[in-house]
Amino acid sequence: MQTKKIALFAVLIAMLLVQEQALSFIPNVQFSTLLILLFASSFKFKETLLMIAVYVIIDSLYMGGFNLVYMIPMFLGWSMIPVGYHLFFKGKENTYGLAFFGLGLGFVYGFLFMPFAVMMTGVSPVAYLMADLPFQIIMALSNFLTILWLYPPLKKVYQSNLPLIG
Amino acid sequence: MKRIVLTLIAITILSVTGLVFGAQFQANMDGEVTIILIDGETEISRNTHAFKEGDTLYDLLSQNYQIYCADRNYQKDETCTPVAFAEITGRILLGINDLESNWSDTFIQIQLNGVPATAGMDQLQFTDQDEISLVLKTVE
Repeated sequence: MQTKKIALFAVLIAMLLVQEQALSFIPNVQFSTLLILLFASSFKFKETLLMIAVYVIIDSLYMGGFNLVYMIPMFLGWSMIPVGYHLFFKGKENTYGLAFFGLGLGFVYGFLFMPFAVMMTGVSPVAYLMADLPFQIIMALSNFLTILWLYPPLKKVYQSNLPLIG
Repeated sequence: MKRIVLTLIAITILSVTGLVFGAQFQANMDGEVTIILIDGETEISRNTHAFKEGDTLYDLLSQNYQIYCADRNYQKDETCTPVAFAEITGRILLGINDLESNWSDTFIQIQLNGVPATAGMDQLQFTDQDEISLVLKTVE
């Protein structure tokens, strides 16, 4: 991998982490889905997975846990974005389709944490889902709105600047 | 146009989510509930408290116990100021008397009649003669 690209990935991962921390006081409202979607549409599948892995590791270290119980569903959840993008949207991007994909991801991301949270806390899956449902709805709608409004202009900026970086 | 319509629909759903899940529960009658404090498996205390119509569980706990909540950054807030989490406003119980969660690997679970609750101190619906347990649990 080129040095320029490694440096670019470092900056992009830093942006991902900073915006997440800046918005951490509002659970499940963030630009992470939007940014990872941009990464998935601008870089190779393996490169995006690598960026997600680094992001999950740093995020877990920063939050003080480095707990596999959180890290596994987190990695799986975010990895759904490049998987979904490359399966359904590569070469045929549609902002509305991507926005609805982000909407669905909000729920899938929450569901992925359920078995781990149930195992850890001992609460019943139904109780967990009931308590988590409003936050899944918030994440889903936050994903939907950010992708709907910000994906096209950000993608344009990426497309015009990435070739300059190399 | 399509984008604006979809945005309005999304904002409406967000608002309804806030109204449905964030609605504060106030008792609709006078009565008594038993509050049990449990540290892991050990029962620390069991007391019965009277409540009045219009009380929330937070009112009941703050009148009878020393409680601490989590602030926006999940740090200890002795004033227990309500925090708005997106569309939902409420309080997170971080400590009560000697039971205190450090947030990272312990938490206080609220149980209503032995069943884990799906709402917090501001939203939990309770009625006369209910048993509410506050259990300090460790994440393993």
